[in-house]
Amino acid sequence: MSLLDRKLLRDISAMRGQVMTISLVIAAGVAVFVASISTYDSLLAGRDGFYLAGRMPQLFVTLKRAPLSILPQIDEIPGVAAVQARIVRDVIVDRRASPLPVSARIVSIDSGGDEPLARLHVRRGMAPPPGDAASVAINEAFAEANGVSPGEDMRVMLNSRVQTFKVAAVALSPEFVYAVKPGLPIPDDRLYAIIWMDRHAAEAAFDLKAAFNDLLVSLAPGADAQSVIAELDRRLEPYGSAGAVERRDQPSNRFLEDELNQQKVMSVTIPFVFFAVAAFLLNVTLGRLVAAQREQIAALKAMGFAAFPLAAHYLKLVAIIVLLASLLGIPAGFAFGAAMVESYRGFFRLPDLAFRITPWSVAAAVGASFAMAAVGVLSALRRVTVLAPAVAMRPDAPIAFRRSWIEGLIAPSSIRPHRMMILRNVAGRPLRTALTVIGVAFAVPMVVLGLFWRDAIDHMVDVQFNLVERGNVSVVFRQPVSRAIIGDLSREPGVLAVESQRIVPVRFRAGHRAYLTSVVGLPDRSELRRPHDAALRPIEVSSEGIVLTRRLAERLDVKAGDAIAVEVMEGARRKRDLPVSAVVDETIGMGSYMPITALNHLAGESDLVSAAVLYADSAAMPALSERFKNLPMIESVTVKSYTLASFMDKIANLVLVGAGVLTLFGVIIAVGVVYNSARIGLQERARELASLRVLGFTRAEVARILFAEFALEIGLGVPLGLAASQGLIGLIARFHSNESFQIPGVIGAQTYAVAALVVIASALASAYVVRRRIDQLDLVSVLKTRD
Amino acid sequence: MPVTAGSNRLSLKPVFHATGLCKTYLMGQVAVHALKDVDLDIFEREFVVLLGPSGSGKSTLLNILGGLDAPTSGEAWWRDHNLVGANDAELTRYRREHVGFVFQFYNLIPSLTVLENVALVTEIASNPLDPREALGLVGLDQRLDHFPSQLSGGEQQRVAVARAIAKSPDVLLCDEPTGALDYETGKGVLAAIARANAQLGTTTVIITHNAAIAGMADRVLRLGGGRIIGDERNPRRLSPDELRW
Repeated sequence: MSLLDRKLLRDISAMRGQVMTISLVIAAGVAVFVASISTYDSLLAGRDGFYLAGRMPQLFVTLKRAPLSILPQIDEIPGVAAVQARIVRDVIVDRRASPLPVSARIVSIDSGGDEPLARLHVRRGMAPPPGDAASVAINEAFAEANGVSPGEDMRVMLNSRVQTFKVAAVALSPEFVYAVKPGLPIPDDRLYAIIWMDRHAAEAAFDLKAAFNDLLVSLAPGADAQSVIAELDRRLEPYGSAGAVERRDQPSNRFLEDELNQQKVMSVTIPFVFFAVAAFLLNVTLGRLVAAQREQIAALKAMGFAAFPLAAHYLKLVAIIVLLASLLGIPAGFAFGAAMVESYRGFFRLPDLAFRITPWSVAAAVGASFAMAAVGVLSALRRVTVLAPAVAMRPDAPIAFRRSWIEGLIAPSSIRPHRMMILRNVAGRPLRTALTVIGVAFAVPMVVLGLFWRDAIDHMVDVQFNLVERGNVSVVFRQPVSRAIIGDLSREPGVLAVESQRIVPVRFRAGHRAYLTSVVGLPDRSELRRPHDAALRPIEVSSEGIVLTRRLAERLDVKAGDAIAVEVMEGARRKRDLPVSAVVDETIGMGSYMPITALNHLAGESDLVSAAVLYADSAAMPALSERFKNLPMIESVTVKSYTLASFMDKIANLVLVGAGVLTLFGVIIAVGVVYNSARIGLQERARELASLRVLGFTRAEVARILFAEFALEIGLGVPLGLAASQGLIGLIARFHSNESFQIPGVIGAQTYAVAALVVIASALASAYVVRRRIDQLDLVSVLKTRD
Repeated sequence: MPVTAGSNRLSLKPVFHATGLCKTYLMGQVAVHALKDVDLDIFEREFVVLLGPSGSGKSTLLNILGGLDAPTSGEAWWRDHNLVGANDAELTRYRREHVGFVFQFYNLIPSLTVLENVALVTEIASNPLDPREALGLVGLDQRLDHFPSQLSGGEQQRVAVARAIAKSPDVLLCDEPTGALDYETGKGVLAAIARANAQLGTTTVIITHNAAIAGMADRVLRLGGGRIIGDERNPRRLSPDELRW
């Protein structure tokens, strides 16, 4: 081993605390980077694999009823590769065990699950073969949530009577990776099932002999989706087509896509912050280390060492720190990524979702860490090596202290000298003070970043489910019915208020942009559904136009006052241009509103309702649910509290993993910044502090002088960090928002308090460690050493 | 008793009393005997110069007297304070209440002005001088608002002397106070120390390798190889002006 290497090992041993804390910060950056990139790639691989094996279609069409005989005409549309005609219906499942009505989507299959499009991936059992009208396959999420296994019975309400099927298989489908009940923003696996049934059984149940009401289309390579859609819509319009939907807007795919995008954003934004902090720490710490070794470096240069081996020597130090960081960060990233993929398993039903580490992410993380660290070290080294050895061997010129401007504000004679020392040290080294303050300030948003998700989700839920949706039960009718039903519902025992809704499928067009969705028609002065604007003020839905959610307005690139073309996708398919009367802020989904009368008028219908929102006494809820299970005109029932609880349950794990890891990393940064600043501060001030000890100052008095400076820096850094958190979180929330969820950049008071306390506690712990070093100051040596 | 005629201002009572002081350092595998069986008395108001070359043990002796280091064996007393076996808090109190230090490299606090450097120690003293008065004694009452970086080495050392005497210590311990200074400047600093000894009656111990300084002492203790090899009383104390080196 060369002597320089031996020096290196001893240097590392002497500053092991600093080496360790810096390594931990870099390790955190490496871990987040490796984990998020790998999680993203794992999800992507899982999705692509399943879409390919499961023959995920590109276009999805819902229609009223079309004869199978028109299929050859569809097949011949240029660009169409394959079609699959199905019967799809939403039904109520009769599950005694469930306290609430369970909804299901029945999907017909022709080939025992091995369909030309949207092929099933059977997990257990065997999908019903052609001709088997007695058995069904169900989706895995529902089976797991309800403990249903093959062999058990499933009782389904078909045309007002209960029919029993044998569960023959538990399966996955690329169409239902994320199975959400239509109209609901979030999934509830306990109350929503996908039931695959052989076509013969479905034909009989829904009276669709040799007909279909749902069409899947895959495109030939290079086909233009828009022209195929136009042709499909034209040919299927007579059969009540609601318009072909691209894969991009297929609900399951959209959720998956949104989550993937979010993961992709996270893999860039969060590690960037960590790397930035690590680079800052390395720059400052290693920079000061090199500065402290100035005389050694000069002596080595004087002895004839060239600049290159000296640079190599310090780069080895960086390499060791990065190596240590990689040894910690890569396994941590692996564990973090595996935990994230695991927590996605409950959300996304992909048959082959395994955590795979992305090799380039490891190389990139290690390379980026090394590069950032090397810049910090080399710039410091350069400052020393440009000096002539004779100059460098003399100590750095002492700081010429001056009275600071702060002293002008207070009478200097009123400040006792030891406090003056504190003040002048802070003010006299403004750059250093600023760097420490910024470092501390960096740690705060890191902790906030881990904790704010909870606040954001709470806010999101609060806005959506307390301010906007104020009822506690909603029901959707099998088809639009007369308003009289609202009176019937209001007479049900326990129902305190009922409001009607009309939901009409529409296509919006603005310029070249189009979007298929539905408009919710609200009664005048609706109390149970109240759209709100960004300032959380309720917005009255005006009869003059249409109200869009912000995300939808952005997708269509319109604002309040602009006109959009609205095409009703049912009945007479009327088209009208309507002004956007207001843009509202909702946190979940992309909806739109009109007054119910105006909407019925637009659809060319009389006073119809298609859904109702109820506010019911919670004590009456069980009886009410039981009753709704048996009302034939009700297609689905949603109980808000139940859905919400299921959702919170599901995301809890995901939030917990993310928050836990990010908070831990925030602590690492806080300790890294504070401990290193304290150590360097002590190192630089050792002589001064030891002199004070010799003059008779006690250990506690000396510690107080050092820590008071520190407290001042933390006192400035923490509020700055809290202020910066708002900006950073706003940015992160914006990046992470998507069409499914608009993450609000909301930080709760408790989160602020916890973040501040975590940073302060890290500072105290670091101070405690450094305090022990003050006790070990060598008093004798200061008598003999020059500054 | 080593008291001679003409020294009637000295008391007969030793303030420092040490017997059989030994100090052994372990430098790696080698034991270095810095002090070997040293006996010593220093009297109130006495001006003592500890003279010896590098490695003679003079710094070790000063450190033990100043409560900064502990002997390996032997006894050391400051009046009725046993300096051997005292814990850190007791030694800190001893330094705080009784000792003024002057260091070879001044060790001023760079962020404090001249006046503030002196006022800093008066904060922790029970019966301090007015900082301005202490600075007057060393002839620096015109530069109160200057920072150490704006002063020459000699001026800095005079501030250090003022700082040491400002808390009215019982004893002033000076470690090579002129070691980093040129001839003229050094003499100025010695004059300040002598004035403090004369006007305040502070017992003063200076360690130096500069034999010329010995002339201004009441008594000169010569150290060599860790032992006291000479103990001479000057018949007449020279003023710093009379010193030549």
